[in-house]
Amino acid sequence: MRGFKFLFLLFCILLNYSTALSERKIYAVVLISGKMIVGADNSLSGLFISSDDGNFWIHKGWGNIKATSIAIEPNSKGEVLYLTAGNGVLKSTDRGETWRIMTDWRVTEVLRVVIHPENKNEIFIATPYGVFKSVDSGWSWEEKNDGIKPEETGTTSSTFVSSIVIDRGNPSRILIGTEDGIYESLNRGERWKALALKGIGIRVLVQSPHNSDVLFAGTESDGIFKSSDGGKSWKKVNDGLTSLTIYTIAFDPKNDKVIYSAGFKTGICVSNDGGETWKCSEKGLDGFNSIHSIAVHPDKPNFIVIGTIDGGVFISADGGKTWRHSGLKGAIVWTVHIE
Amino acid sequence: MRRVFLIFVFLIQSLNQSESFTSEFELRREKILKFYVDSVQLGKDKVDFFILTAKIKFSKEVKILLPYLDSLIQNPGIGDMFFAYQLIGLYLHCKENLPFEYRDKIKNVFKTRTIYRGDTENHWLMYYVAWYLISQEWENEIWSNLKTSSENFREASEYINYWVDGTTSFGQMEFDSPTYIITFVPPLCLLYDFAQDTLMKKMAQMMLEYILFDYAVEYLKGCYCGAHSRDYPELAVNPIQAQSQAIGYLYFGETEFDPRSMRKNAVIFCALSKFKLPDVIRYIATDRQFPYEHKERKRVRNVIRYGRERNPAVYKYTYMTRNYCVGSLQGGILQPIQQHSWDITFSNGLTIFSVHPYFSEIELGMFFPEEVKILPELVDRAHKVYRSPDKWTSSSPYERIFQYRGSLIVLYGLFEMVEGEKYRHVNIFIPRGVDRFEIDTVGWVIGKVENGYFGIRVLGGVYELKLEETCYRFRVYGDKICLIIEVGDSDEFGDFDRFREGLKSSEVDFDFDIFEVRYKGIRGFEMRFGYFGSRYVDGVEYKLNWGLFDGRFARSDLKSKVIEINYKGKKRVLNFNKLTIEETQAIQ
Repeated sequence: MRGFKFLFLLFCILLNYSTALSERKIYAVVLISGKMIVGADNSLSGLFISSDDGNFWIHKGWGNIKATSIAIEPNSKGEVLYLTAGNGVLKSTDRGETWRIMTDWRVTEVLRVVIHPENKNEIFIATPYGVFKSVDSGWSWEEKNDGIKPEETGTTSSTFVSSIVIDRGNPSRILIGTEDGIYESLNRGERWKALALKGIGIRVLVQSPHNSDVLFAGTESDGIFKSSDGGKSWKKVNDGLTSLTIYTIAFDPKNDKVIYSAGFKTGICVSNDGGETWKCSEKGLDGFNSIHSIAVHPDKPNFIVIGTIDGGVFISADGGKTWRHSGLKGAIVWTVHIE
Repeated sequence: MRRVFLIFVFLIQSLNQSESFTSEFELRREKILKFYVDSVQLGKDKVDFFILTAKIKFSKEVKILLPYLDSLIQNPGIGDMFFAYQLIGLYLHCKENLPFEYRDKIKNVFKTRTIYRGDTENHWLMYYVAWYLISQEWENEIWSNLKTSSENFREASEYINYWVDGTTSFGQMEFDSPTYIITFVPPLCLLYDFAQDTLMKKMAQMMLEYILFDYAVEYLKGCYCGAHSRDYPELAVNPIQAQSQAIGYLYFGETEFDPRSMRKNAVIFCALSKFKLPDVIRYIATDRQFPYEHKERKRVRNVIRYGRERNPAVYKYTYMTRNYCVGSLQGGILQPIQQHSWDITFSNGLTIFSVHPYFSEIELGMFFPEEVKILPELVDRAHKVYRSPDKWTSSSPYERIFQYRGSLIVLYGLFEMVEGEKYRHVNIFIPRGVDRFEIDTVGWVIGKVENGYFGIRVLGGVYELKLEETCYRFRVYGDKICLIIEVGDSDEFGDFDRFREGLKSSEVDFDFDIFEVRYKGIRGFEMRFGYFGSRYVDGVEYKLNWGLFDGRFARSDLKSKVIEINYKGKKRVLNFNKLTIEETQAIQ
């Protein structure tokens, strides 16, 4: 009897373990929670992780840091995390339990971090002061602003970089979305040149997982632009949008026709024709119609997570038809990510 | 009594400067410390790390203070960078009085509590001074950011050097702030007192002199006068209440210590410091025998988007007399939210100024990285009045200012406002406390404050006058508004009537179409000022091209990193290239 109990217990533990491994975690990167005064004692922000589809959130690491984005080292199974924040880039090698600041006084207010798909040690960060690159997993950083410096472009907007796309079709080619349009580098960030949408504030730049020639840019006040030739030409695709300030664009991983977008007072917008037209809805979002980030589950495309401005996280399990509030009430969630 | 004795002993130990000013200075130090040690009551008054520092340092019964320290460590109620530098300051000042377990406890705080660096110049100075001293104190440790002592020490040293280099080459960004000077001087005092590296200690001393000179030359009986990068509305209308008053009291005198604002408590670190202000700077702060003009160049805080360059130049101009000071900067967006572009400050602390209550996503987006559409709402959660039509601090892209001596012209080109921007009006603040106040038949708003006189002429707009609790608020409406401000005093004009008659006979020619004004005022010179850039005095173009300091009391050229301070033939040269101080010639 005792042996049976032991085997049953072992079975339960193994079952639990295998279930946990098959589950994906949701990461919510919180810029601020409620009122924020930079020089004051503020409420908890930073990284929150849910392992149960967004029912319960656990805060990990630093508590008051104006966090903006996260990148998870490929094949690390969530062990190696890069988090960007006001203090710079933080890195954890133990699933978020402890964090080290990887940058120094030269790097601040980081907005995005991207790991090169060909080389996990090659990290790019987007900041309001330009692009910085590390080739040693974040231990040292070099500014990579040749071609976008204000003295070259005539505007400080060209160094305000909010997005980085490493071209899947040509991994030496990197595109950045700046406050002064889209710039391109053909040598992994060594030199930039203006590519498109000069003078337009780019809030988000993404590449389709289905076709590397297809790119979308969400902008500050011009809606969405689409390119079908790798960025050479762009057209406005705003039909159906209710607001032209777009912060986030996400793809259905299984269906290249389905794309989601959202931004300032847009609600959630869905395109079923590859981003040509959109339908926007605020239904079920409890009035939190400004959305900063969308993540679509890689395996279950109907499972969608959104990070709102001031409303925390909402989740839909039916492709956006209905939404439930998932937590982090009052938070400005800058990035959501499903790994 | 025992406490007083201890303070006395402490002060005596620190005496190492010339006798004349030192004795007055020591009395003021003693008064400050005595207030916090004796008058602030535990359990009744709110305490902070500064007050605890003073109490622990001079107490024989440290035990009763420790629960308060525990409580503050647990729940400091202040931002991380403030917390870090205040706690290490308390530790270093009080180490000998702290039980060993508390020394370990404080060390452990820095090993476990993560510290947000903040996003302003003052935040970063406090943050890096804290890490410099923490990592100096405890070598071979790993801290909450998982960096080693040597890594944190090196980073902090590099940043402090970078900050000093930039400030002395191009001017400060968070310049001349009556509020935030209290976040620069106390951390520099800590650095001066506790940095073991002699060069860092010297640099801290020189930066203290640099910043305090910068204040001294615009100091009038407790007030930080003229234009400021950052000011709070309640202090803009009542400058004697600003935190700078406590710094002024300690180092310059000529005002009474008024500890009502908790934020002034940081002056405790200054009062405890061994740093002594050189006599020459104190003379400059207090000698108002002869009027003088003084020019400064500063930098705009980092413009991260929507600008042509990262740190455009700020040109300040100040005219100081013993009865009033009038100071200004050139106008435009030079700081977000809290800019104070010009004012008259009278020797009794009353002040007059105008504001275009501008707000916009663009202004905030220039300086903050969050999404511009949400920034006004985020800022209002903290500052409350950012979008108010009645606010008393603001920058405006439609404001242009030209000052020459006591004459000032302010132009507001509100016709340039774009769709979505609000408030086509300008507010003028005139305090209720003025002695006389009248509007003459020509249109001059004329008044008197003790021995100081002022006149304000409004052209190109219509105004309404509202009587408020603290002020006469003139709200001026128009597309092209011109304000002409004249300031004088009894020393220059004799009685008030003569000043008033002088205003009436002044010549004004306002060309509304090209938005240019020609004004020949009471001092006889003619100013010509156009909204689109023309500045002339007596027909000669007036260029904004001066160095970091340019005036009777100091000179410092752009990028020179050398400031030459002068007072009656005595020179004190701070050379940041060599980290040397040279003083020559005696005061005559």
